[in-house]
Amino acid sequence: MILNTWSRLIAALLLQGATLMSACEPIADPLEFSQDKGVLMRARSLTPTSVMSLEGEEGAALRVMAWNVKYAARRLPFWFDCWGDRVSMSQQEVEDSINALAALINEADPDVLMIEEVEVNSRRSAYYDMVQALLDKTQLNYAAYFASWDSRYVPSEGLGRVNLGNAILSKHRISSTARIRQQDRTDLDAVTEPFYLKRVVGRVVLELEGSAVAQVAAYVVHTEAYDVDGTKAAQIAHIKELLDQEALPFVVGGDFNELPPNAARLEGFPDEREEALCSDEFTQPPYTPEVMRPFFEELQPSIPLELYGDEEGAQARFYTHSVLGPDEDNGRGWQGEWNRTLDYLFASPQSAWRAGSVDVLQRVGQRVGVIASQLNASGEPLDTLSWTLESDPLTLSDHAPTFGVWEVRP
Amino acid sequence: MSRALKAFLSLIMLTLMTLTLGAPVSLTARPLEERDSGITQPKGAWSVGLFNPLSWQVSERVGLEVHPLAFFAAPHLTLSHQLSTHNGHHISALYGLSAPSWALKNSLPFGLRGYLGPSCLVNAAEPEREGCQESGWGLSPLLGARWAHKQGPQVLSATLDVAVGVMLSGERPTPLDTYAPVEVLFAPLTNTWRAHLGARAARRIADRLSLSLELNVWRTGEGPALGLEAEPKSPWVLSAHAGADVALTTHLSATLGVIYYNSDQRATRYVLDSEGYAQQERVRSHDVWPTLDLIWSY
Repeated sequence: MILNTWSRLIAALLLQGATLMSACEPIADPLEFSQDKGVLMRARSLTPTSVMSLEGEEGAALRVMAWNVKYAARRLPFWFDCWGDRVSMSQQEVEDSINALAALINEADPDVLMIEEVEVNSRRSAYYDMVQALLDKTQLNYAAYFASWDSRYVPSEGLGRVNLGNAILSKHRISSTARIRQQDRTDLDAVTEPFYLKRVVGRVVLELEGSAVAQVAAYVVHTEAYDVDGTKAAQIAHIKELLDQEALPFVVGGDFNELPPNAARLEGFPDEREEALCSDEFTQPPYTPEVMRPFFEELQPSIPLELYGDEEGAQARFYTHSVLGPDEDNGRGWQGEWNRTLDYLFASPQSAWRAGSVDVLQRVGQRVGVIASQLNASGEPLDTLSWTLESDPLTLSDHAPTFGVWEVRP
Repeated sequence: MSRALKAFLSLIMLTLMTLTLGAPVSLTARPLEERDSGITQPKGAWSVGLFNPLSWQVSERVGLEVHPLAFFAAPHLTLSHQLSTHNGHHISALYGLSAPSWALKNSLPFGLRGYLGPSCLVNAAEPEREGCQESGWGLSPLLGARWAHKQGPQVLSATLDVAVGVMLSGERPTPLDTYAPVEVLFAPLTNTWRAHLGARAARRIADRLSLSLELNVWRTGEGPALGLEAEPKSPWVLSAHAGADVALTTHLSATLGVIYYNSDQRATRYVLDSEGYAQQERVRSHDVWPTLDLIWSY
């Protein structure tokens, strides 16, 4: 009978293409929609909360953070980065990571958290429901999950089942959700394309009970990284179009996979391999930072271009990504360190970021909001809510969180 | 599948059926209803399909089975030894040996390294970096028994077998959590053992046509934990197969049918509470596949 098993296996594999209709669960969800809803979740135990008001005037202040959490893999060298061969994590590894992520989130204590690359039922992350876990381990009460990659089995390096996406977690009630589909890459071969992750924009409406600002909108985005056909540029333009049509005060955060328009370094990052060792599927194509300019010029960036400055040394203060972590080197004596900015927070033009509150959370011991141009006369940060980081973001993900206090007036 | 393709395939099938079933034919080389039953064939008899195995009766009591296509990906061999034949009852012992880790450790065309498991390119070039989660080498011996009973045009058969996965080196691979046939195949290696109970009934309803129904249940052991300990994966896999064998010529027959699998592949669905908030709930996977083959028998 073991031979019969072989027979059925081979027949099944060969006939898979013709029988997708007959399987109750597709081999990969093509996400064939232009817009649908996100998955609405809440913490098992709700934390009482209120909206911060503005000093001396009507309005609301919300602590906002965006973070690509790399499916709780911290700095484990997964195969697609080509600095290791990891394909899966144990339950304990994932739990430890989730606890560490939750610890940093609790330090920042955001009202609204946009997270990218979060998984809810993936083989590589021990089928852990990270959204529910983060709700239960933080002060955040509600979440909307937006799956962007839902594959039953990805036959690549034993990846297997994947359910990955973006999410918005909030202390305040979410009254509506929208998962907005972005365009797909056109430069993938026919075999890879069905299994490749898709891109979606997540939108929620938050109810700010007891505030003069009744509702605000929040968006989470994560655009393409490896295309050579202009997909990422089109996706970023699409996001801007969506924001231009937004009627509510809004904040958008996420991993745009794109450098700021004034980035001093555009290529030659130290954690890129000089010679291809793995497939070129995950080689970084040239950045096109000009596509980000409308966001900086027409919206309210948490860190404006003037703050980034023009020199690489100054810009390093706002880097949010590195492939290699601090415990690895590139083989040429360079230890992993943040080396480019890809993650941003932007808000609607009529709103503002509280001076001295905005920052990139880069390393343990960092006093958040302490940026040279944003100190008061005594050298203290302008924002009195500033705190010193106890967690070490450099070890928690390949992206650093971006943070700021967003002020909205009616 | 497009309508045009469906229509084209249907036309071919109808033509084939008309040409073959309408033509006179002598007795088939092997009674159709005996396929896959375990009834011992005459010495020297053999059959092979595109997807079905090569079976060869090497002596009056001993038969060998091997799958030519799969052999290069995972070498294997099953030997059936007839223990008794009495009043139409046939009892055989089954002895098998396979090396499923071969498929995980070798690249195409001799394996599926890089597809079902890691390819370890970095580790090969820079061994000082963190080790690869590669499967070790393992063997899977199988021991079982098969009973078959033939009465007129009807054959009933049952099979019970147990396979264990013995690691010879390296780490035991984690369960693949994928389609049931693949999962069952690797289960001795990934889950330490696999037990199987199968039953089949086949009946010839015309000179050229026999119908069959087959039920199978597998139980697997526990492999290296990958998922949440609080939500262990179900070890049970079920299948049901209904099919027909059609004799095309004396030595050539076609089989077609449909097989249903029920297994835990770590799928989930969202269940909403009364206020519209979602919770994930584990569900079993259901898969239906067509089975189609051409079999030559001598």
